[in-house]
Amino acid sequence: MQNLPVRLEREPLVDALFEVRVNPSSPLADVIPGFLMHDLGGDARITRLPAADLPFPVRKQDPNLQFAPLLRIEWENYFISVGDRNVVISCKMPYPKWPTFKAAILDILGRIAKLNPEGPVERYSLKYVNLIPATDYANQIGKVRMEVTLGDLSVSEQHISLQVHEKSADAIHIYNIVTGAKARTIEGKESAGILVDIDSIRNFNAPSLKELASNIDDGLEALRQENKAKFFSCLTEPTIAEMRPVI
Amino acid sequence: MSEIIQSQTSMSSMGSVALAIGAALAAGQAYWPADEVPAYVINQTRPSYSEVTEQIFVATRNPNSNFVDQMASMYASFSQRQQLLGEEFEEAIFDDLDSLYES
Repeated sequence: MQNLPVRLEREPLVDALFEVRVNPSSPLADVIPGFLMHDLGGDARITRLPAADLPFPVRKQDPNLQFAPLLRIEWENYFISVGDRNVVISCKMPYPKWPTFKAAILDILGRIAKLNPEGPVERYSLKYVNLIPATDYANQIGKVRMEVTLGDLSVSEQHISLQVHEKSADAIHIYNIVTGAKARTIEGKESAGILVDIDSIRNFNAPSLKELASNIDDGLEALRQENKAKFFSCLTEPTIAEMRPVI
Repeated sequence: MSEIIQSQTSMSSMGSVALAIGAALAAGQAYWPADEVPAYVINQTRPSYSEVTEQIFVATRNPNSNFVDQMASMYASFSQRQQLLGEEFEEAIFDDLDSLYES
């Protein structure tokens, strides 16, 4: 494997998250947030999200809503979003770097494992969303190692929205490339460019979240390294250099 | 939290859904979502939920608001427009509560 940067001085990251999906006997959002609010202590704040106002049968029937978080807990540098069938742990920006984020994931999973909600785990995933600044479509496409030809059209300066699913031995990596994206950071700064988002998903059949929490460490680390390698493999050398990598 | 926005032409399929819901409500058939056979099915793994990327694709469909927000505001609007039945009906109901739920 190539030598990947330990960190980037110019971080293009706009979202980093861990998600676990289960098939629970009762909706996770009914049981986990209350328990976590108690377990995390006084610093945690909870927010009700728009999907919570939709009736459960409607959410259950619509595939677009089944994994929409209903409640979000803000705790230290993290957001813990809980839906009917999933828990999403995401970072506030700036990204606290992988060792810290991983420790937070394991900590939060460990807390949820104490509650041990019933239902088998289906999968877990890591998703990193990056926005690489560039002015027009041609410049944005030039940031990534990508050649798209469609009929007589060689895509070089057109808007593009591309999703590729790659299966590896024990994971699925979903690449999402979208030009013309604009980001507004937490500091209120706006930047425009190309979105490069790598979603690495591992199907994991465990009888419970407790079982997952006690067995996830190595698998999570491997998934992160795969995800990171996929991201850097998508970028051209000049693009990586612009991010000022620290090896 | 970071937010990504992207302005693009609304997709025609979303407009069709909105029209279908509107027509159903107007006809007094407030069934949602409609139990329809889809025109086609794509068999693929669903991505992880990211509020940031969700906003991108939502903004792609409709630059002004996202789908969940729209549905939530529709239900909120229904509940806000609830009206009291009025004294006459309330008296009739509350005078005979015991038999209200008898089959």
